[in-house]
Amino acid sequence: MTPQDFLECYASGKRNFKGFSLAGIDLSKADIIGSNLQLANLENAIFTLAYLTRVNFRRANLARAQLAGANLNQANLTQANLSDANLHGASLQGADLRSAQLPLADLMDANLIEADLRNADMSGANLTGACLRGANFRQEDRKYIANLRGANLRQASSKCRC
Amino acid sequence: MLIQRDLELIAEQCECFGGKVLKSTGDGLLMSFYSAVQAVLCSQEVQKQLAKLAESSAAGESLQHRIGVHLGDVLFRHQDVLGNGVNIAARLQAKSAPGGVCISQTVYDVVKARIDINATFLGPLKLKNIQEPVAAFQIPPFGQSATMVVPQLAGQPVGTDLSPLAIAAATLEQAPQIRRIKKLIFGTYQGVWENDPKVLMQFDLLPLLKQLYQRHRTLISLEKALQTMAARLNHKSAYLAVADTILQALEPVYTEAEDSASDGEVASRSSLRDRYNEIAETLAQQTDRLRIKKLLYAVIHTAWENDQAVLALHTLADLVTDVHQIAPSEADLSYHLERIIKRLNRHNHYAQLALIISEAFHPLYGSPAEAAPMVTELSAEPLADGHTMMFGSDKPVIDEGLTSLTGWQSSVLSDGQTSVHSSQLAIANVCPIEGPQDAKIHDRANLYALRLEIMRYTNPLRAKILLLSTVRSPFTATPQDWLTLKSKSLDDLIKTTFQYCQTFSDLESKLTIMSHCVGNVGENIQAAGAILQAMKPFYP
Repeated sequence: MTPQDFLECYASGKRNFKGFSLAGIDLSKADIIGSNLQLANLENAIFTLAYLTRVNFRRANLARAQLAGANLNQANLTQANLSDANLHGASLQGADLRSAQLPLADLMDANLIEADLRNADMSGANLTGACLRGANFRQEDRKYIANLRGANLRQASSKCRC
Repeated sequence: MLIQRDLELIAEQCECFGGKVLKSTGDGLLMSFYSAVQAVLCSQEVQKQLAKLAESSAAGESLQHRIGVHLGDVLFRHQDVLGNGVNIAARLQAKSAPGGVCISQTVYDVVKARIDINATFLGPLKLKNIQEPVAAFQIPPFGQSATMVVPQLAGQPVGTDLSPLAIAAATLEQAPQIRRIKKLIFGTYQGVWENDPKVLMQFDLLPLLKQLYQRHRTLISLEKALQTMAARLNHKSAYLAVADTILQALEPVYTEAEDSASDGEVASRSSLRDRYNEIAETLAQQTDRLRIKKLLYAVIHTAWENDQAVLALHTLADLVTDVHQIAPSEADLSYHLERIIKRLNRHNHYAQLALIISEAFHPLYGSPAEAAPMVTELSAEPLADGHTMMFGSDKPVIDEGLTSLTGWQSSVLSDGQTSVHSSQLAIANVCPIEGPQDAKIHDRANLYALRLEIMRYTNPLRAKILLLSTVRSPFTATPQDWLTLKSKSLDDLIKTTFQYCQTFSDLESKLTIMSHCVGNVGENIQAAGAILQAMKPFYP
C-alpha cells in the first residue's frame, strides 16, 4: 500500500487498518487522527511531524519508526514495540504507553505529561529534556515497575508518580 | 540593445552575490537569493553600477531600473516560479523610485542590523492583488539622500520656514551623510548615542538643531561639543568630518544672530530661577524626595548614585536647574526619564516618581516663550510607542541590587554600528541598592516551568525548529540540520535565545519573521505564539 492509497482510504472515511502491513511507509506530516492501527506492522515507518492524536497503536510494531515531532496525544500505545524508535520532540501528552517496549528509544524533549508509563520498558532510552510531569510509572506489582535502567534522564523533569 | 546590456549587468551582479536568475520577464528579471542581506547588497550594487554606467554614457543612452525586494516562500513548478512572495516582490518593484530599491518591512527587519541602509519608511502600501497592506522602505537612488526621493514624508513642508536654521536643516537633509549627521546631532544634544533608526525617525532635524543652537550660543562652543562627541566614537574620523559638515551648515545662523542678540534674555533668566525654586519646593514636599533626587541626578550624570553624602552636595534646586538645561522641552524630559527608568530594577516605583517629576516640571514647559526665549516654536515630538524600544539592545539588569559598572549601552560593536566607548558617557547600569527587587521577572536559571508551558501549548519539535532557525539559520530539514537539532535540547535552545534576543520585542519580531521563513507557516505562527507567551514573563 502506498502512502497515497493509504491517505485516500483515510480521506474516504476508512479508519480501521487493523493488522495492515505498512512497513517503511512514509506518512510524514500526514493527518490520520483517530485511525485504528492495532497490530499493524509499521517497522521503519516515517511519521515525522504527523498528526496521530488518539490513534490506536496497540501491539503495533513501530520498531525504528520515525516519530519525531509526531502528535501522539492520547494515543494508545499499549504493548506497542517502539524499540529504537525516534520520538524526538514528539508530543505524547496523556498517551497510554502501558507495557510498551521502548528500549533505546529517543524521547529527547518529548512531552510525556500525564502519560501512562506503567510497566513500560525504557532501558537505554534517551529522556534528555523530556517532560514527565504527572506521568505514571507506578505499578502495584513491584515486579513490573517501568524499567529505566540506563535511561538518560538529563534535564528530564520529574514530579511524576514513580 | 540597451535593455540587453543592462539585464546582462544585473544577471552578472546577481551571480556575484550568490543569487540565481529565475526568469526573465522581457524587460525585467526575477532573482532569488539564499540571504536577504545578499539580495539587498546586490540590488544596491546593481543600482550603483547602472548609475555609473549612465554617467559615462551619452544622454539618451541609458535606462533607469526599479528594484523590489521581498522575503517569502516561493514554489518552483514546471520551470516557473510561483507564490505570493513573487507577486509581492513584483509589486514592490513598481512602487520603487526609478534608480532606487523598494524593500518590504520583512526584508528591512532582517537586514537592518547587518547593513547600514539609508531607507525611508513608506508606510503600509496597498499592492495590487495582494490582500494585506505591505509595509515597505525606499532605498534612494545611488548618490541621493532619502528625503529627496519622498519629499512629502519629510517633517517640514518645504518653503514655509525660511529662518537661517531652517535653511541649515534643509541643507543638511540633502547631504549624503544625513543619517550620520542626525546621529551626531542627536548624540551631542541628548548626550546618549542612539543607533536605532526607529527612534531617530521620531526626531526631526530642525527642532534638534534649534535646541542644539539654544544650548551652544557660540560656534566655538558647538564645535567643541560636536568634536568631543565624535572623538568618543569608534568611527571617529568619519564623524569628525560629519561634525565639519554640520558646522559649515550652521555657520550663517551664528553670524546672523550676533547682530540681534537681545537683552530680554537676561531678565527672563532671573525669573526662571524663581520657577526652579518653586519646582524644587514642590518636589521637596514629596515623601520620596530622596529617590526623586536620585532620579534627577541620574538624568544629569547618566550614572546612578546611591551615596547620600554625594547626593547631599546637590540641592534640589540645582538639580532642577541642570535637568532643565539638559531637557529644554517636555519631550526631552520624558526621553531622559524613560531612558533611566528602563534600566532600573524597581521600574514601577520609579515610573510613578517620574510622573511626579514631569508634573512638577510642567509649568516650565507650559509657556515656551518665557522658558526658552530664543526658540519660537518649541517642538513637542510625539513620544509614540516606538519609544519603549529605545534601548532595544540593552542587557536587562537583574542583579542582586549592587550597582554594577558595565556598559550603559551594550550595543553590538560589530556590523559597522557606531557605539560610544568612552567611560564618561557610557557608564553604569542603573541598579539601586534598595531591598529585594520586585521579583516579577522569572528566574532564567530554572527553565522547567517554561519548557512545560511551551510543551503544553505547542509541538516540542516545532518549537525547537523555530528556535534553532532563529538563533542559527532557517531549518531546511537536511540530515545535517537534523543532527544539529538533536545535539541541542530545548533547554539549550531557550538559553541561547535569551542571549540572542535581548528584549521581548526583539524576540517577538525575530520569531515572527522566522515563522514565515521555514515550512508550514500556520503551524509556526501557532508555535511562535506559544513560545512568546511562555517566554514573556522572563523578560523585564
